[in-house]
Amino acid sequence: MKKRYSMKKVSAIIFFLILVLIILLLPSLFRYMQEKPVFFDSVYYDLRVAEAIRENGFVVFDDLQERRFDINLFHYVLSLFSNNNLVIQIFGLFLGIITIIFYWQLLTFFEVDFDSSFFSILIFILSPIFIYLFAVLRSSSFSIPLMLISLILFFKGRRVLSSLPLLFISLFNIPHFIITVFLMLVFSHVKKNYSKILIPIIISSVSLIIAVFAFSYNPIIIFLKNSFENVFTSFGAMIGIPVFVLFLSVIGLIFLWNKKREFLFLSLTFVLFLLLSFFSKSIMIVFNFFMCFFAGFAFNFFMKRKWAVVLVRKFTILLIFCSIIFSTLVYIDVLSESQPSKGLFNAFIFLKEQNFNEDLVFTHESYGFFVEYFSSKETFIDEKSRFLNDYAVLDNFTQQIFYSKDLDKTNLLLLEKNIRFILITPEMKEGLVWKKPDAGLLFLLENSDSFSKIYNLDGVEIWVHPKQI
Amino acid sequence: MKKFTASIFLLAIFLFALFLRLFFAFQSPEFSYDSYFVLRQVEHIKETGRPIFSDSLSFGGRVFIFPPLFYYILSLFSFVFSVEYVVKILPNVFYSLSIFAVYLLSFHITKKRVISLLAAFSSAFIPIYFLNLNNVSVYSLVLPLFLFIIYCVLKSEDKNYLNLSLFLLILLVLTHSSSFFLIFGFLLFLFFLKVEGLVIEDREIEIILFSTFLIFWFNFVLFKQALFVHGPFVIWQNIPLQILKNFFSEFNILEVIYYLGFIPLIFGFYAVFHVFSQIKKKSVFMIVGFVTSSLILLWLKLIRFRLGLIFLGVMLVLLAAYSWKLFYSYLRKTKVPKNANVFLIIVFILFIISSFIPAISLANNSSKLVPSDEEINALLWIEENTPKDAVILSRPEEGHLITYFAKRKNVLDSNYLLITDANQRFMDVNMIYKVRFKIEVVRKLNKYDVDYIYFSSKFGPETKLFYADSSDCFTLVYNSSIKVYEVHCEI
Repeated sequence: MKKRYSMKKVSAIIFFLILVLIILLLPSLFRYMQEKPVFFDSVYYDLRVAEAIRENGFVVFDDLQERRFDINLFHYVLSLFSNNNLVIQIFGLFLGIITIIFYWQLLTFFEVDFDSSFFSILIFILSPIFIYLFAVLRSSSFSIPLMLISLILFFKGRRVLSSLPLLFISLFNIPHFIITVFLMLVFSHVKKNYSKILIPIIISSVSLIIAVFAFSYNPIIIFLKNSFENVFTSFGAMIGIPVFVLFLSVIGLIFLWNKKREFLFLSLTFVLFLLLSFFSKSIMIVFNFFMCFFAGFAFNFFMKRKWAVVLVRKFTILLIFCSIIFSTLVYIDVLSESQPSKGLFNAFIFLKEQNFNEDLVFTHESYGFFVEYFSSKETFIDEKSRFLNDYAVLDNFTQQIFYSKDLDKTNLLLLEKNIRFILITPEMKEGLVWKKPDAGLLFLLENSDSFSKIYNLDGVEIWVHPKQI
Repeated sequence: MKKFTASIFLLAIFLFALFLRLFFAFQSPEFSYDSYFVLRQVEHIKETGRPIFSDSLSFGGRVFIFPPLFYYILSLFSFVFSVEYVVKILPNVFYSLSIFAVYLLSFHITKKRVISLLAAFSSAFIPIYFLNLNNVSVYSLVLPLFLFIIYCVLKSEDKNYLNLSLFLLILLVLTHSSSFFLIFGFLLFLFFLKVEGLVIEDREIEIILFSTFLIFWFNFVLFKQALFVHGPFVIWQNIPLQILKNFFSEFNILEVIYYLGFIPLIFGFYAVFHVFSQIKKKSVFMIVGFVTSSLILLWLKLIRFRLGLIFLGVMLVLLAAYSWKLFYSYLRKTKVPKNANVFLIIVFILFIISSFIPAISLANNSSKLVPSDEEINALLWIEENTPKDAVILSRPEEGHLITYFAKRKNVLDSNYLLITDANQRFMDVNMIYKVRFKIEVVRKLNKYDVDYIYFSSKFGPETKLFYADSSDCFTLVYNSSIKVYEVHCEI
């Protein structure tokens, strides 16, 4: 009997390994087939920081953007292999597999039966957050497995040992560190053993102080308001949860609540994290574990339940499965279609060849990291600018340049801010910035002699503005 | 009353209701303004076998997303009869079919044939159903499907009904996205059963779960693109803010009484009170679930006002039937049992006064809500005398007329889903009809490449275009009660 169970587990592990390989490699594969740069999103900021570390050792100040780097231990690890995309992918895969093993361990610790664990992990692997975390490397790709091992050790009573990964979590990702300590506190409260938490809290307090001083963390950025569209991948969020899996997890919560009342704290934490997910991506990443657990439980419940109507059972299970797969495929499609595109990449290379290194590039903030990484040029605004004290001023300037049809005013602003290059993409013309073809800056570019178009390929345009009028 | 007699009466009610609907519908050969979208779809399916998902005329070129079953059913019949007849008759037949569903549901709840017949008659003449008989509405099919699904779920202990409910559910999902309403109703039904401590059968949970998953999944797949473009605002179909409040208008109790009739309202809400406070009847809770979901969705403005009232009306009639049965049974137990029949007669007379007469009055007005001969002549003139790629500006209400009769591109119509600049277009078009300054108007007309302005003065307060008569930029090329101006200038 034991042997059969082991075989079942081994088969499951092999199945998960293959699935992880497919799921994590698909976005990069699709991008590679479209001749796009394989990475996407904010990874290019991390790569630039890692390269700066590799060149200069310990760095704090960003010479290109003339501000402090938003840096943590992850960038130092990344600097070891930031020049090798394949190693980054393999490392992501490795961390993804480690995370699955730890997640399974955690479920086993809480005596979740094999089948429920299997479906929870299956849904977890197919979840957009798993793909987001491990298809490329991010700081959370490290902090999440560390968080899981720290919790496993803590739950098993290895308090001192659990503090070691906790220390590293604080150096990778402060919000995940706070969440880990919170979960330890909840567990201690359930077990009514507060002395257990003392050692991790002392060690973690020290590590937190070190992290804050070493990397100059700004605690305000831990919680940011998310819009509704940014929470659900079904509405186009880059890091988000699929509405359908959330719905399934709520069903799981209801069934589990009816079955075992002792899941009170787990259920409360689920609800709390769900609400906080609207304000913090870091919490959403942790919430994904809870969600997948409840969704897996619900799925297993549907599979094992003695259905009154067999026909309905078959269709319902098929529908659930199709919905989960559909969410995953839609998300993979979103990642493979995301920027930077091939056309944009070519424009960045062209921009890099322009010998005006001290002049700024003006474009939408979502392209900032790409320009900085590929073209080695300073941008007027990027996604990190949001955390600067003078962001309101920068944003005001940006709005004025984008939407003003007053040539004198725009010329003055561009000169004042030392902006020489203006990068325009098809997406900016189609709603990202402008809704009309003759709006603001677009009108000026087409109808004024002050600007000259130096690049126009695949819909991407680069305009140059003279140093003097 | 014997089953056979009841069947004869029921058939008579159906035929009478259908006759009245068709009588008023055929008072005009035309259709409501929005119906021409349906006509285009049906004619296109008839010609090509596919609906128009990618339309080069609407909004100057756009993509439509909708479940296509309703259009396919209409086009199927159009192979035998002319499209105009099919589109005129079939939606009215569909609406009238709900009479049978109401009878069956009512009989399931009350076990009284007379009361069920009264309920069937009441449901046939709810005033809101006669609001615009020339409107070719997908809800005409949605409503009977809804009612038959509810009936089949209530009778689902019989396997045939269960299979039928699944089949009808698939049809509903393929008909319209308002199938979401079914989920809310079912979930509230489960909630009420739980709160009242009633037993929830396994098969009920299973059917409801299946419905929920099916409706969620299908709509997420179908509206994926719209969800990405509009986010959660897809619920409001991207309708411009200025007209949103007309579609999802405030809950006005007087309007509700007029459109639903006070008899179903009073007796319906008495049934709600009774089922919560005295005898807890499961089938009634199902209907209460749907009444509650209609009220909540109307209150939160998550459902179109007219659609909400259509569902609310029929559900209240079913609840009213339960109340009538309670009063009827009570009066039968008194010393004068004949009073029970008198009670039903009084209810019938009151219904005739409060609902039937308003329904006929609304039906009589239907012929005024269609385009006039002058409008159609002007549009046919445009078809014959303008370049094929011309863009015609009209009010949003007239947009489908432009694409159907004139076969030309419009600037906007009433279908806003996936239109990213819907608000801007709506404001610009309103501005073009309103302002007196030529330069600003020409700028806007150039923006949408408008070649002709269609002016009917039927929608909006403007009686003329002030800038058009005194300018070289505009030539009056068609002059009757409808005016068509050609645009010359460019800025």
